[in-house]
Amino acid sequence: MTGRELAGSLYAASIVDTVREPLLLLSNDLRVVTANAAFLKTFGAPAAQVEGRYLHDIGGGEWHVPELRRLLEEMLPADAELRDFEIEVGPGTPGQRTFLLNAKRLEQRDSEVHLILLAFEDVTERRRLEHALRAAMAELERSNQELEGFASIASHDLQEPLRKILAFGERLASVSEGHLPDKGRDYLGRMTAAAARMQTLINDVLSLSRVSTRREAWRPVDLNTVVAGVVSDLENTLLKTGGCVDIGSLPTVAADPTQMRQLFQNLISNGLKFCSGRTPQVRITATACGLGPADRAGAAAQTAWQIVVADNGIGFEPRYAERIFRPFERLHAREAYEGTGIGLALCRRIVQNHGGTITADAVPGSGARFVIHLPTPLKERA
Amino acid sequence: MNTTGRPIVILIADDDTEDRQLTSDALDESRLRNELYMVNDGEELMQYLRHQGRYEDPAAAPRPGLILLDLAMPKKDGREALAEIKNDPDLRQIPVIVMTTSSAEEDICRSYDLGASSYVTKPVSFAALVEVMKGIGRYWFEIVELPS
Repeated sequence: MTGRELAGSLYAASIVDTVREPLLLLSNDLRVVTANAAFLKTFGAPAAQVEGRYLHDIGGGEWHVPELRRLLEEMLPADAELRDFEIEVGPGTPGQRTFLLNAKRLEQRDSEVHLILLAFEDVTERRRLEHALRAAMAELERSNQELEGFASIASHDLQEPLRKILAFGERLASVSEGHLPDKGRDYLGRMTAAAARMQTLINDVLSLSRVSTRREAWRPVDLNTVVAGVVSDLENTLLKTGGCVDIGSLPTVAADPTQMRQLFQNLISNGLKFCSGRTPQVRITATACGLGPADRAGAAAQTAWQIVVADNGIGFEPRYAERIFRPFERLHAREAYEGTGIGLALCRRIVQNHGGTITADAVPGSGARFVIHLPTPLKERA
Repeated sequence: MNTTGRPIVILIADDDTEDRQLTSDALDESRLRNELYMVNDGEELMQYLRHQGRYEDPAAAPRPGLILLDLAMPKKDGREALAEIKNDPDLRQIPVIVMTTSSAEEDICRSYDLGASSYVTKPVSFAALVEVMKGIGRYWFEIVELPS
């Protein structure tokens, strides 16, 4: 070799020996010409036991992978490259590892000898974690199914005695027409009303549990369409109260369509329900926010949508801003406003499912605002 | 129209004693002239229809013109019984009205899929149940022709 070639060769050799990934140089006939330090360290073998040997003979024959051999042999005349080939080395042994492999034939000028460079990436740990994750998700799925089944059955069985209380309460009222003193009728009325409330509570608990167990695959959901649908459903309420819903331009997001519907159904109907003397008005607006660092093109990356549902109703004391999201939390007597207090708990769970947050602020007597942050792209919560 | 003048036999399959009672009362109140028979579960239902076990005597188990079928029953549930009835060439002409507490989409679809003629969710109030029975009477016994 010339002086320059020697220098170049030393340069290359230094690189090969310093990189952290295992590298092998094979000759035409698949003998190891050089194994770098990383390779020797990974396989705990001294150079003498590796260099000069056929690849498939190294160690206890762990590298005897027929498909790899075939591919390497095919590469020789074809001057081809091999990329991302996954091999299991030493399958079934304690030292079993999984590697991703790149291989390339190296041209050597003025030489008949062609070398093949093999570069390895140890993905054993990664594959193990992927496997564990898949197993955990399968377990979660199974557990959800079980929970869903239990919730359905529990609610069905819990509803049955309530139906009887309601049905026979009604029969009692009708057969004792005129014979029951006022107090008696009053008590009977309270009993059946309580049973009816319990029915609603059971349904609400079921709804809340279903937000977690019954989830559809995400698809692009145009929130304008969702809100329009909700407003259409609430038409009667709107007519009765003379209220209106003012919708700004809303984005299309990747989400569970049914849950988005539930979310806005609850927020908008709350806005109309908790109204003060004024004609109820609900405004929904959306802004892009959370601008991340600008990319190469100079465009700032949007990382979230902020959607606000604001009303002009009774509002609430700021110190209750977190409490109101608790299941069955009510700030008012049952007689004042109907509802079990599950709506906001449902909204929070739905927003959390979509990787976002929901908070509330209000001025007592003036109105309330519910602020939803949804990250884009939405990160699905397992 | 029931041309024979004989009351049409209604067979109620429901495991819940009180529900059977309420349905029977509601039928009375809706003044439907019918003979009412009751079975507790899907197994008894099939025995009744096939004149087996304690229903061997056909006089004790006259062929119903209509079956009101609850879905959730022990031993053999309504879905299984419905499938059996609609697969039996001798029994499948009998209209089956599923009357059950569930309003779940899957139950509704599955029932019609198995051949139920109608699906009714049991109303909560007695007054509503009476109205349902009146409706059933008007539709099935006055408007519709039943196979003889």
